[in-house]
Amino acid sequence: MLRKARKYHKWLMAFVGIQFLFWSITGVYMVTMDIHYIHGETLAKSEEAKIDLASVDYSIAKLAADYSEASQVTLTQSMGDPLYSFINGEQGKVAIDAKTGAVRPPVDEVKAKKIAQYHYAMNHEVDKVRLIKTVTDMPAELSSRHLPVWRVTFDQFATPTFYISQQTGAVVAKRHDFWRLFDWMWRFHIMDYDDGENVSNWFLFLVAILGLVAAIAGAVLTYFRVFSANKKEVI
Amino acid sequence: MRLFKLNTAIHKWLSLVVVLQLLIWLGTGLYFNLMDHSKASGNELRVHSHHEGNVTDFSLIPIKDIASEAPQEVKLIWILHQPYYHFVFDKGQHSYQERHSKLFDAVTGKPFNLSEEQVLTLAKNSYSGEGKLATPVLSQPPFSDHVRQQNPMWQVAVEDENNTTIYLDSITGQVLRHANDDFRLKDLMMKLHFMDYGNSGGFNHWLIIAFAFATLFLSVTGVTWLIQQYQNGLLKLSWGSNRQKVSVTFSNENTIADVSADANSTVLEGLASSHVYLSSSCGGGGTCGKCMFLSSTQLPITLSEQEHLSDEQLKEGYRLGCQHRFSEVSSIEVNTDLNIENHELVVVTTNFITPFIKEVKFKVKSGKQLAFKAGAYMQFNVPAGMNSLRPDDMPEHYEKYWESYSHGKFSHDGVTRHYSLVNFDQETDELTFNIRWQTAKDGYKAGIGSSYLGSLEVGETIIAKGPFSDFYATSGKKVPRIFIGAGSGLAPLRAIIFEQLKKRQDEGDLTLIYGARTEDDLLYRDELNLLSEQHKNFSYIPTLSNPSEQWQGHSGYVQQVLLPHLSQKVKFLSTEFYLCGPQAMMSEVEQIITDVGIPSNQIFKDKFSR
Repeated sequence: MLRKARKYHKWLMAFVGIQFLFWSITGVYMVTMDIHYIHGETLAKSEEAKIDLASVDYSIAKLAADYSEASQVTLTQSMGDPLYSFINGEQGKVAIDAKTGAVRPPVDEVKAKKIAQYHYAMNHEVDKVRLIKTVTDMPAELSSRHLPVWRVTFDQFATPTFYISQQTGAVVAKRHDFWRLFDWMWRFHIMDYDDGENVSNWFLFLVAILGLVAAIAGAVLTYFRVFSANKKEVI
Repeated sequence: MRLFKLNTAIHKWLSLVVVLQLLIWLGTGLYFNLMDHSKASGNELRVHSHHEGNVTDFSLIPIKDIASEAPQEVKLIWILHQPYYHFVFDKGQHSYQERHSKLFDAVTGKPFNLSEEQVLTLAKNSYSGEGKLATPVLSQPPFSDHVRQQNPMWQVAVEDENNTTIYLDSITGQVLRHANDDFRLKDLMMKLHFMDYGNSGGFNHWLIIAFAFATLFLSVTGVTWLIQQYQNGLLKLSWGSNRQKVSVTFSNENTIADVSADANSTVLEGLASSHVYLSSSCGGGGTCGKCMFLSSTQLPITLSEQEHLSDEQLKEGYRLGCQHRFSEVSSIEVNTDLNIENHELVVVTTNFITPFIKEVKFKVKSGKQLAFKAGAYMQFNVPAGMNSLRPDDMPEHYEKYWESYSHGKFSHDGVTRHYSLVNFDQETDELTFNIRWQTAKDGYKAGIGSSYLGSLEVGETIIAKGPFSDFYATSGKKVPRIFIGAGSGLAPLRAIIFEQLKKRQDEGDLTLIYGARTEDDLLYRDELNLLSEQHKNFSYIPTLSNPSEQWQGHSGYVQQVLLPHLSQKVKFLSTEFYLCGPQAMMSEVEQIITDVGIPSNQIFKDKFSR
């Protein structure tokens, strides 16, 4: 029993042991890094400001009259200015000034920079600003539903990055290298070296099954070694 | 620093700490790998219904006219096709974090609260199953179906087989979750995987962090161990099983036996597969240091051995059985008991092949195939009893040689007798022995063993132990070998020669110098002649001490034939000599070859009279 356990533990681990190392390295990373930090919540100041309703002169009724197909209407704010954002039928996302009803021009590079710095919790220079319009141009760390967006990176360790909607000026995603590393850790953890999304891959299944047998053999070894170490021969 | 011991000890103790959780991680991980995602989401019976209305169908009150504190955000939402303003005063980054908000009728501008009926309708609209929905209950956190939720939720229990519960936002009535038993199973698995035994709802807590580090060190020490094993050649893959024989001396009993095992297995495993158990309490991990053996050859020293054996032991050649492969050793000494089995042998055929030698073939009654090195012997248990003084089944043409021996019987005690095997193990499934009748010189007592074995009839059985060996060919393939034998001393030599030529495809020159009295006494004469015709590297040189007039070969003793042979041919440096025959002959031959300068480690003798 003991010798068999030793043999199975050794040989199975010779094949899957390296994945145990990956599992534990990635596991340590994922549990030690606070998930809210990973999500970039500390990168942005929390929005405390309230909308001054008195300044909202352009009413929703007017909006309904001007944009009869409007849906998902939200009164929100960008850098202290109230604005309506909504889906205007086929046209997609539209943002209009809630004071005047004027269509807000799409966020330009200067504005994107300003918005980024307005929300950024720390005090670093903007490094690069880039407009992303198509899925092919988009980094994998962003969801395509946010397009088009400005990608603003700060000149700082871990490359903090804000994605700012070109239409609404809202910060739609916050990324930094710890997020990116987390994403890789996750891939290595679930052994999906493809796109990192599929937990149900056969490779994980195979290694997990072998790993489970190897671990059980290891548990048998531990049992014998720890709890019957003073028996002379347990072969 | 005793790094090996430290590493393995850390590995062992950490494994004790994390073992249960590690198995849970693997088990739940497998569950996530195999689970049906749509079922586990709990949304199998969930449908999305549209409550949106058209903005132009209502005269919406301006937001600024609503009597409310200033919001962070206002959303125009639709509940059962009616418009409402959802004022959000503050909220976290995630929807489960605490949020303060309020609903106002978007037409009247009055504060609005969902009624139980409306919540029930919303819940019903989201559910496609047959179950009956109970009255909604506005519940406060914590929720066992949604551990992280910090806001109140409407809870609607459904009477279905899957125990569905529908959760809705307390303010907006938005359907947040369908929890059912499939979902709860996944949730439990998550909880186990995240070690969330304190219901934190996440995986960033101290318990899992501590276990993660322990597991990391477990993995690192494990991988380190594997690397050490690889460096010591104990992790080499090889396909097919390649059996190897090792001669094992049992120092307790001073006996020698051949053990055959998979060449790739460790010495510990290999011996165990033949029921020879070295002491071990770790089962071959190199951590207990008990499975010692003494190797005749110099073996490399592994880390484990450095730390478990003393310098003196290592110098003397002691090693650990779990640290070396069977293929690394050829002859070893162990301090354990020999558990060589007793075999019951059945006589298959008997046949006088010379006037005084009977060839007896056995099979193991159990059908087991014994593995042994050519040249091995077995120990027969001859029971006490009455034996004939001369054979009863002798062929007529040998009668003339027996005329001077009288008939009769004699009684004897039980004894053990050793006989060499004539064949090698893969030649046949039989065990062949040459039984030389020790004739009754004084007229009243013949050889006990030979007269007993020589009188066995087909179908009769005898108990024998072994095979044992301390006489066998070295492993060199191109070494010239000279075999010198006389009388029934041919037996082990024949086995070795046949094994070298038939099984090992030996390429070195093999010479057999074989002495007998007369032509009739030449054992296996035709077979050996045929072999020398088939194999250019084998020469058969019989010599007779008492030849007939027709004899054209050598006459005289083997010593006399050997001398000229030595001066002509021998490559002194490497030629090996294998001797088996009467003691006097062996001593004389050994003297001769030692005199010409053959070192003693190239001379192998089988003690003829065991």
